[in-house]
Amino acid sequence: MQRRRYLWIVLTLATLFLAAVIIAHFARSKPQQSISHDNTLQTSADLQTGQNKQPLQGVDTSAETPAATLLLDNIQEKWRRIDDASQDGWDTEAFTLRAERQLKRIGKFLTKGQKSVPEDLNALATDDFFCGLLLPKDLELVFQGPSIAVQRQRGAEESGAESRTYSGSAGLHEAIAELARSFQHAREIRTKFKTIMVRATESRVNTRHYLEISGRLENGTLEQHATWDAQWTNTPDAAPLLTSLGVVDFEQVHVQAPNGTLFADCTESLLEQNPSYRQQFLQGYEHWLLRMPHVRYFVSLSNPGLAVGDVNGDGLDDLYVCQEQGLPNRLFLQRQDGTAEDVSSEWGVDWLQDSRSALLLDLDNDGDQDLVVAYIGGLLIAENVAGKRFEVRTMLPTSEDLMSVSAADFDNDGDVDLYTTAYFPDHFIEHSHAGGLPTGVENFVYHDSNLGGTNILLRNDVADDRWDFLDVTEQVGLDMNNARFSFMGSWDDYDNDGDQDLYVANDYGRDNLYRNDGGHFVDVAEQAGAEDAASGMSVSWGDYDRDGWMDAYISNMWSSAGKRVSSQPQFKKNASPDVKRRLQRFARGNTLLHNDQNGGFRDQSANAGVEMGRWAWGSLFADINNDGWSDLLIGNGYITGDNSGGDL
Amino acid sequence: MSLSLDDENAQPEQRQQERFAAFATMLREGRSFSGHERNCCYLNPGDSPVAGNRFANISAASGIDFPDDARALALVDWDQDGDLDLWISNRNAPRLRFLRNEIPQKDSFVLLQLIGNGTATNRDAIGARVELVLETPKDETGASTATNHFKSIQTLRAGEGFLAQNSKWLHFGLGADNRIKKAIVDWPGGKREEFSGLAINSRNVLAQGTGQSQKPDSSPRNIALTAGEQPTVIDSQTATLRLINPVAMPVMQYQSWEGDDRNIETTPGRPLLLSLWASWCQPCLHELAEMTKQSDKLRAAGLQVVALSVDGVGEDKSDPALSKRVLDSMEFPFESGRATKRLLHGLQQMHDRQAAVRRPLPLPTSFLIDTTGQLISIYKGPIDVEEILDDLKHADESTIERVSHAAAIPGRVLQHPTAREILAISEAEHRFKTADLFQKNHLWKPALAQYDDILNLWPDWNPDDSQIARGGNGRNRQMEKRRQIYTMAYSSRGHVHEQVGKLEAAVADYNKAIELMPTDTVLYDNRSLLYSKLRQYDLALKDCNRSIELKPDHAASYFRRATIYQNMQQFQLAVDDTTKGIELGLESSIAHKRRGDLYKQLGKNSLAIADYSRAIKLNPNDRFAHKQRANILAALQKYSAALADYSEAIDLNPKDAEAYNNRGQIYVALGQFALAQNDFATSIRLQPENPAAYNNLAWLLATCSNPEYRDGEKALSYAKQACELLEWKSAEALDTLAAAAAEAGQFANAIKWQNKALELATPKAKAELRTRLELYQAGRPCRTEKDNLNERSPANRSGTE
Repeated sequence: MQRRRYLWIVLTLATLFLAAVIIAHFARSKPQQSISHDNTLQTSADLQTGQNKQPLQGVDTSAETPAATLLLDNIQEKWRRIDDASQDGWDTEAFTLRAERQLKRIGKFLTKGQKSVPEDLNALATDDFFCGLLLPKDLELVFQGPSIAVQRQRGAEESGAESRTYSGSAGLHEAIAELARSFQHAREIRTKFKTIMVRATESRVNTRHYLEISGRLENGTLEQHATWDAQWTNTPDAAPLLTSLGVVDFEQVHVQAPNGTLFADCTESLLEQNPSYRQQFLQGYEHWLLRMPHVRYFVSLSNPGLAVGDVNGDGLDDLYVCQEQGLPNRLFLQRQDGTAEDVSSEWGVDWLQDSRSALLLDLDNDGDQDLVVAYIGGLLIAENVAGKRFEVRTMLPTSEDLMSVSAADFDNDGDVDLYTTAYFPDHFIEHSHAGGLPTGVENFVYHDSNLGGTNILLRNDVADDRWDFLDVTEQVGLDMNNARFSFMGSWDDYDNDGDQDLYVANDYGRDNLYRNDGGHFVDVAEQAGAEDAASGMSVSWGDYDRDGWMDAYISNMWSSAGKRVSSQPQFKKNASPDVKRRLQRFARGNTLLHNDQNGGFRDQSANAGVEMGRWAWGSLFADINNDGWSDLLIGNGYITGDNSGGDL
Repeated sequence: MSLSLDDENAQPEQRQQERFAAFATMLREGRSFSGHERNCCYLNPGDSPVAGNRFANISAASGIDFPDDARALALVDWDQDGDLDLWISNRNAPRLRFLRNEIPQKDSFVLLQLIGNGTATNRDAIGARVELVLETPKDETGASTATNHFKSIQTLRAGEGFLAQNSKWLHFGLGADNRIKKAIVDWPGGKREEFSGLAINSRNVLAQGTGQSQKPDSSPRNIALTAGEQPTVIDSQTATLRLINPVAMPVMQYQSWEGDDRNIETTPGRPLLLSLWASWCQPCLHELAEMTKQSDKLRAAGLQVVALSVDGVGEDKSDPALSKRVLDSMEFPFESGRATKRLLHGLQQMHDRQAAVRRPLPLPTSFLIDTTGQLISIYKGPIDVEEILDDLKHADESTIERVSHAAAIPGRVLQHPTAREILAISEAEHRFKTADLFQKNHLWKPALAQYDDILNLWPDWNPDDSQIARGGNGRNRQMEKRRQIYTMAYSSRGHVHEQVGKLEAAVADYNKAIELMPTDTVLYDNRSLLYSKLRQYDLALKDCNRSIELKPDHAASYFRRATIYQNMQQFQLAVDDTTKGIELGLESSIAHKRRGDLYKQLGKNSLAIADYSRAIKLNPNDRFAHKQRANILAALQKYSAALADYSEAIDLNPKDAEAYNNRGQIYVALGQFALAQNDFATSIRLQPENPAAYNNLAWLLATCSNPEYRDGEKALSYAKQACELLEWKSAEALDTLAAAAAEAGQFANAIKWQNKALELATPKAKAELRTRLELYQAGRPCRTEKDNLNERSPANRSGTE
């Protein structure tokens, strides 16, 4: 028997790691060669195995030297082995790597613009290669705004244009060159190929690719998004050759804007007068991690929550920024000229502990903006004092791994109540000590886990000088399905019945949709078709089709490797169809839920073409061009560390 | 994902575990994962008939497609020009982006601020739903075109997206030439109210109960924002890690220049700086020169310095002699020596445990240990003398002060009791992990120090305070946590005491743990095992009973109690508990074998055989079960069955001397003397110190019914070895020796040995020995019938365990 263990520590662990792991299996990792040094020492990072190899390298203090990346050989080697898809019988993954190498050459040709020469595309296609136009003729204008125009390929039946055929290597060159012609006057041309399907037969391999090309024009941007079907020779050892290419889908966007793009980064001009800008915000989280002692929960994620509000009542919105352990949170007051002043210290809010998210809102109905900050282990409540500073009124002990806080007057009693979400369950010791490895989470079910943290509804009982909040989670029915890995909760009245309902985006499975029935809640996610069982990271409400009912957009993960692998017959061969479907769903991406005006939702993600958001975090509905229709903004990317590793 | 579990009861695959582990390590080491991804933007094509409700990907054109690790997005019309600007926070640099909306020739808009009355509706009007009603567009004839049946609704929310809150100004894009008729506001907790007088392309304030839009106070703004790429700041590997919770530094060793092992130990009252360097590392040399230059200052602070060269350690090819020369030439005034591979492992592990992330240590690296032997800082990169002196000043500060001192950038520490509680819990967690590292490396003393520190976290805490209402509000949750922490600390400390043999101290700690958590069966189990170790079986039994009372369905507890009963010689009770454990679902070959042994003890041979058979069925490779069963079968004279089992056991382990010996006995019984001799000989070869096979072989050589297999001289030699190994105190071996002597014709000796055997024999065995004595006295050797195996006591078949 074990001599020292506790049940409550069993279910711990960095489970986003798990999500990532699983995707890791999809995403082909591209590890860099580790830096070798003549004076590399062989030492061990682990006394147990004693076989790890790790370089101990001299720090060059000269400023010009870019940060050296000291990789540990052992794990890199191990990972390479683990991530070797052919080990698991995924030969198609190995093929994809080879095919993408070929496609990169096309990408390179496209980005070189006029400098491209036919030789760049040599030995890419067989002699009997053929394809039609890669830049379809007779594009249809599907959207025309004052500065944005969108064109698409017509469906085959509507297209009257006769199709040209190109053949052989020369034909491929010609077809690509025609495609490249749109960008001949462009700068900063970028291309990206993603392989989203691969099927092998004995002699041929069929693949589907997602292609992006973009470039800056004199007064704007041109971008194209296409889906290609390709066929290749199936040669296990040699580079595959294209035997055919076909355009399944093509969209071209032309935008006119003085700075080239619709949005322009004005951060430096806005913040440069503050020392904290350069000192704190121009260094990435990896930099701070080197200086950070022991931290609890989800160390690698990084969670700089943002809150906008007018804290000094001058009519201008200000910004509060949450920061991790050892970095002070910041409050930036907006000045008349749009720049902002860091007043964190004067306002007393430059706290150093590990915070995740914040809200600026009036908790005591006195007409100014108070501050709520979600910390690991507690929710801080600070009162706005005379529009000059914040004073801590209370800190409510909550679940430990607190992520988000959102507010609504759930009981319609005239004050706003607070809802917090937690990702991991409270735990005391990471399950495994050797690097926080989740090796011990044995009953963790990636596609449907109920081992997560506890979300809490705190009723606002603030009165006079008493800043009381009461945990009413159980009382109001929000304890239903309340053990998921919750990132974000957001409130809106989705059934137009006059009270605030709540959507909770959860990782590793089903989301919650708590319908508010006069102050009592029922999780109707399943019956409403709103479970969206995947890697929920965020949720945004908006009426995108302007029918007067709120729809929702949920961030998940889009994985080309996941699509490739999970769609093949040998994927989870022995799993039930339901389990298989659920797992396949995880690679699909973001979700657009359309409100059916009858208490339910229809998943419109594919029809609306808004699935691809990569490894998405914050996403929001926003009418960016004032045409009255809500567009979508998506922030994404998991961890950019040392340039190694795969991506979605 | 192809390896993920189908459900919670599924058995994880080894490869999945391996992946998790490797992945977690990768993250701790700062590798990329789905990094460099570009943000996305999709344009809603609205009612365009040809767009088919399909959004357009305008990511590149939007200009938000930075390859950042974006996290939170927050919307605000920051510059109040009527369109939505965007704040984005990132994981990597730059960690903040303000993206100004610069769409030229934009459509119309309105911005609305809502003000609740503060009684029925909250002041911010969070939760308010606004519908903007537009004038129906008319064509030239004045007829309504009625094309615009689209609604414009917005809700004022607080918290959405990922960890973000947007501006409370509601933004409505209006498209081209629209006029606003009115706004309908559904106030949360209040009524529906219509507002008129909204001004297009401007900001409007809607105060509850007024029904009229008002213009906000504002003065014209001269926005000074300009677009530009944000500066890149070069990252540096030089970093100081200051511990929030200093930990006892275990004693490690280095090598003197002469090659002796030396301890790195602090002198009480004097801090110590341990510095790693190499002769090929320029920054290291500068650092050493700096220390030399500032030696007076360092000495004045009482600082001991030990500079350890890594030249020639591990794969490093540099000559350590060179580093010694380097130090000599600069007249380095402090202690120096060579690092060892083991020391580097230890220091790396120490760093990795104290840091948020695991990273290989660079050169130079220094560890600062304070006057009480606690590690307080790790300098990755060249040291700064002033920094060290400053760090020493902060060494014995409170946790709150150390949080402040450890911060990468100055700020204030949140001091609310809840925040302090979280810091204490964090410290406890950290110390548990550190203690665990120490324990893995058998560093018991520093491990104990961690537990002592944990048990000092809340000196004034009275555990009885938290007896009230479990669960419930946050305060109770905190008290519960303390209870868990203290329980675990006592239990863990007890375990260390047990490891180092301080069993009384271990009992005391286990007692404390149980006092705090009287319902945790694991605690009783641990104490029960400890009591068993102390041979206090009654106490062990009591704890085990308590554990079973608390968790009557826990099968393992019954096995544990069976062991205690076995130790107490209560075999029937042990059988009953083993049965219970098996019934509760823990059927295993081990359980059946154990019960078989117990049955055998009780003389219930057929039950024992049934259990051994079941054990073999469950694990056909269990050679012990085969042997145990064979022993009983042999005793029951079922020789061919016994033979099969012994042979199976030998197949499973061809080096099992005992199995050969026992099989030899069976061969004797079956009259296959050649095979028997062979097996005895093999047994002797495999285990020359075991007397059984000597004795058995000698007996066969002396008394075999078939003269072909008799050899008096050899029998004498083997019998003597058996006697020798048994120190001439075994009646049986002497009996054999006598028979051997008789076979060799030495009847006088035979009579002598047989008399000696009679002296030592049990009363029961004496009759038989006398019979043989009479034979020898009559000048006749002893002869064995082929199937009289059981005439001789089976004691010379050695036991199985």
